Amino acid sequence: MKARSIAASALATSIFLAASVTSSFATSLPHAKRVTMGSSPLVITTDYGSPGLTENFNPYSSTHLVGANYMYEPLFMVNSLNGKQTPWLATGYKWVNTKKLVFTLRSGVKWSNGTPFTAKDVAFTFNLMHKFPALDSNALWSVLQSVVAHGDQVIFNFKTVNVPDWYYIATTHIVNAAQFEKVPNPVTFTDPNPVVTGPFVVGSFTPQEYKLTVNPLYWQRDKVHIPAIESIALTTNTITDEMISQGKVDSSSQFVPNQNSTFIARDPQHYFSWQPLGTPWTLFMNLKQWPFNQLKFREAMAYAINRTRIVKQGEYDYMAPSHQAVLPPAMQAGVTNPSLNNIYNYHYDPTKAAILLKQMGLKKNAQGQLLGKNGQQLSLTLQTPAGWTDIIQDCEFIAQDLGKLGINVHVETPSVSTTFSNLQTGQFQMADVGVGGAQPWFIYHAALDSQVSAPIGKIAPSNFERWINPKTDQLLAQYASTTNPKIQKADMVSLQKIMLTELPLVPLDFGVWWNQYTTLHYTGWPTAQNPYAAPSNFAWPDYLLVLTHLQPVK
Amino acid sequence: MRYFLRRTLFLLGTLWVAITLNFLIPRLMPGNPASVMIAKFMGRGQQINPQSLHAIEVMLGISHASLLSQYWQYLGQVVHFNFGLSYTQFPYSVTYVIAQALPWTLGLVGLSTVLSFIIGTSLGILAAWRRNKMTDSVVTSISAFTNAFPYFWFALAAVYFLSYLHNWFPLTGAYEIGSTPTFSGAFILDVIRHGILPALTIVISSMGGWLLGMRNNMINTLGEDYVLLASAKGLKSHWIASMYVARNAILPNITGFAMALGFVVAGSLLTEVVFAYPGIGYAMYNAVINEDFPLMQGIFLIIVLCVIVANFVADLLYVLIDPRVRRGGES
Repeated sequence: MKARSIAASALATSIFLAASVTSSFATSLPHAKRVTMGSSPLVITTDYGSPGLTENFNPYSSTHLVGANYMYEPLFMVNSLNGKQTPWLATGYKWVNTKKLVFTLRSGVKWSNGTPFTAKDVAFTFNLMHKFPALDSNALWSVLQSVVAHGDQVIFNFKTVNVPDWYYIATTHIVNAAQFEKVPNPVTFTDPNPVVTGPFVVGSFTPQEYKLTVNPLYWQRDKVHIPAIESIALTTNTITDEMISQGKVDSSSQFVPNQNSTFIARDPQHYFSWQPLGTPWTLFMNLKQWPFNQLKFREAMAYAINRTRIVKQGEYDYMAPSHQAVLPPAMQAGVTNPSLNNIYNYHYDPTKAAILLKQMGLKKNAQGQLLGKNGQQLSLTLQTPAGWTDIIQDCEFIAQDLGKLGINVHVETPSVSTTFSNLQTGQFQMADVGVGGAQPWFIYHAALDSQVSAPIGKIAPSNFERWINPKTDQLLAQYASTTNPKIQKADMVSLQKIMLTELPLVPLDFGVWWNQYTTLHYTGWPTAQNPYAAPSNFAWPDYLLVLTHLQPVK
Repeated sequence: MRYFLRRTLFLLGTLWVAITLNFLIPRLMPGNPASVMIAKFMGRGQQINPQSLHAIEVMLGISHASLLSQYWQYLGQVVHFNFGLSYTQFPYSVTYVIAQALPWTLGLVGLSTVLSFIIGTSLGILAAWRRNKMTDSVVTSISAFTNAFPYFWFALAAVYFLSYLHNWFPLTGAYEIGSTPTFSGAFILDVIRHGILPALTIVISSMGGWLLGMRNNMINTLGEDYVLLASAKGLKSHWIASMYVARNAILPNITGFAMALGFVVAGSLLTEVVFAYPGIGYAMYNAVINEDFPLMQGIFLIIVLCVIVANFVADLLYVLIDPRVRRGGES
């Protein structure tokens, strides 16, 4: 162990030296281009090391270090903000029909051990997931029939039509067949010496930090100007905040309280943060219960909650109030119908909320309490996990807003697993959690598809509110079974309309892609003007784009 | 002999109860570690496919077998010190995680416990012997103060003034970020430099307890007739203090010390959290907040084991140093 890491760091140093030599003299690169290299490594914080990091670069593993994302590569790059596609290990793809997808691979790509990258590696990557279901974290083999290599092409045959799953196929980390063939159990494999196609390889590892060094054989070697990445383990927030505010870290993706004064103000010329909107945080209501099964009540909720206050006072103004269409703004471009969003604009309007409740037939008593069916004050619970302090604060604001309407809301904060268990089995009234998805269809599918719901008492993977609606299911299924963009667009607008008129969920605010960076050593970071990638350093596959965009400061 | 046998049986009984409780408690908790993992990604703003729930369950090997068959399997594993794989540090085993953390805790908390016992007890003897004099009042009032001080506050204040404002000590960790743990002189010095402040806070805050206990016992014992007799015989006062009084008065402190040694393995939770020290206490804290049940179980079991064994050893030691216990057991 010790000998290996010393050897590795010696190797790292020599590669580092080689890199600096290339930069100061002329060139010896395959592309015969001069590559200017930065003089310092890119220092990042992204992995939690408590008490220390454990070495795991196995890209199949859900607990792998983020560094695996800088070494392994996908077939296609998909921008997590807006879905923009960039060819990567594949140069193109084609739907032969809705059950047959063909990727054409890039030629001339080499693995970091010098062997050529082929279609066999790609087919092997997917077939290994079939053999070990624990590796198939996106359940691809629930729709796939077979994956075969054919010359420089890889053919994906589907048993169930599922066009959106293209995303998960395109963004799977591709592994080296020769390396993984020899691994007896890829589920518990920790992959200390990855063989990769990507810009970096492992240099050294200690429980407090690991170093990645540039891969000299990388197929876009001319785009990488970072000689090495140093990833320092995150321990406690205070210490990390301190390191960020002292400029010791080039890139970090943390929640930093009051970062305008604690971070940016310390050096506004060089310290920045661009945090585009991401995961929608949503009020889930149990639609199997009164009063949530009443549309008027859900509409009242949409008007009753002051989202601006949640964002300003609960979330340091980092986030943005959500729109009822639920999709983040960048994802909506060209997907939804903006004029519908303007028509159904559920803004904060407690008077309107009170009128809607009155129209439901709910009466108030002399104390101003809204009475339920049993003649007692309407009393509801709102759950969110313990420890999610900002969300708990948001819930308190919601409770106050509903309190003004005469509804008594009790905020409950069980443990993370209890909260999710309650949501999955439907043992809740209201809850504030996120509804994630890499692309618009996945968000609507996760939020509204009856396939991912279940009866009360049974486990629902994500449609916790239990929206069971044949029209919705049909739209989602139609979208998933066509490659015709016109039909897909129409389906999306219809789904948007269901969200706006039926309110199965009441979106509250958008989470953000946490991000702090400095331009002390490197420039070319994604910004609002140039949103070429989601900026968080854990963002997969986006951060590969960032690493191939950064330029050293002269 | 009967005493020894009874103690041994008691030890085994306690162990069985502890192991069984350790098995049952996490299984009575609602929820599913796979969804905790997904929730963690969500809490951080990472996109995750709800479908991964199934794959993660398969990966972690979450068992849906009957409780009884799980129990048998668990007993077999415990005997072989196999606590399974940690959820948060998957695919590393619980044994591996504990082995990484334990040396740091034993070094830091073990040394500071021994130090604080020695210093506290010696000062207690001194304070009792010079009771109601200047030394006594100064030492006793200071230790009453440090003993009653909330440790968390004290440690944070120490970090703020000594590390953050004055940079006299490193802020955090057991060694400098970037250095590789080796047995080189430079690295050992670095570890000592990082260990001083946490050790100091433990010694200062726990010393008072030993001191006050020892002083009170001493003062009780000083009233005994045989002490009076020894003085009447004209024995030197330091001889009486150490061989007559302290020897008898130290008994409760010895038991306390043996138990404290058992608890060393538990680490000093607050110390390790405040200083982000990579020991067992910090590992346990993280296991609890991330609901890493196998790791929690492994750590709890090790702690229970050490405390029970330390108790057992203290019981046996008592027999050696206090003949009354031996006779009492047989009469």
